[in-house]
Amino acid sequence: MNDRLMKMMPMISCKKASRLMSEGMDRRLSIKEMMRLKVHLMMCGACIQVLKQLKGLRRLLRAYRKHLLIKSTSFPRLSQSAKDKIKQVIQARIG
Amino acid sequence: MVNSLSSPQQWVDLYANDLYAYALKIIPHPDQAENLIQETFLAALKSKDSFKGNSSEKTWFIGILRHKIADYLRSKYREAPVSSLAPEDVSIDSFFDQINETLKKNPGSWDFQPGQLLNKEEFWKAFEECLKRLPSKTAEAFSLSEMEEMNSKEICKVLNVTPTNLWSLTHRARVQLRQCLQINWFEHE
Repeated sequence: MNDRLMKMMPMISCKKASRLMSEGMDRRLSIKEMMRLKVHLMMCGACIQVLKQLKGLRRLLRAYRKHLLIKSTSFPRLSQSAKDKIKQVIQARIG
Repeated sequence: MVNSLSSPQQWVDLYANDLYAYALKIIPHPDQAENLIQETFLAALKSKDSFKGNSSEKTWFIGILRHKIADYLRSKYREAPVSSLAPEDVSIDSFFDQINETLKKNPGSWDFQPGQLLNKEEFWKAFEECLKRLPSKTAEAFSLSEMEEMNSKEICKVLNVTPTNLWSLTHRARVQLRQCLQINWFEHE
């Protein structure tokens, strides 16, 4: 049974698997692509780890965006000279 | 109760840092980010009568900034020929072959809750450094997808690429950023 599965679903490389993981985050994978990825992940602990990391990074960035809406950040700071320049431009517009 | 806007003289002190931090996560170049902040304030000045007060002031400013970023990218790539992807793609195979080798070794384990990293300055410094090392279009494709939650169709329009181009860009960005953060942050944690 396993041999038959392997013939139908030849093992893909980690490179190809990472491409499928990534595309799976951008679009819906076909059944065949999803099977290939799943078979690879069954055999490859490293890629399981990478998939978790990629999804974790996405969660982190989305959380960061929402965080910035309600909390103030201390980093990075716009330099005082850049701030002064922008203030002058605003002042010039409002006259 | 309707909130009204604070006076324009206060805007820079109130919001410039947060807007700058936001912009740098998409456009990791200080000069360009600074320009975008200035344009955001000027656009806010023009449309300040349209502030409804049902969102917070900062949400309103970030909304304007997001439009400014998308406009900036659209005009940057409007004239770019579609084949402009080619030079980057030449090196992509050797790049992934290296990655293949590292993955076989050990990708490392990242045990983190987003909440723990949100306030960590050093982490975001490392993140911006890693983002800056990517070719700019690659970085932009990444941030529009991961942070801005823009869908592929919209990103393709903004960056003037086909879906297949876009998926190459995001693939490369994710794998390379992962690698860079592993080396520069998580390994030392």
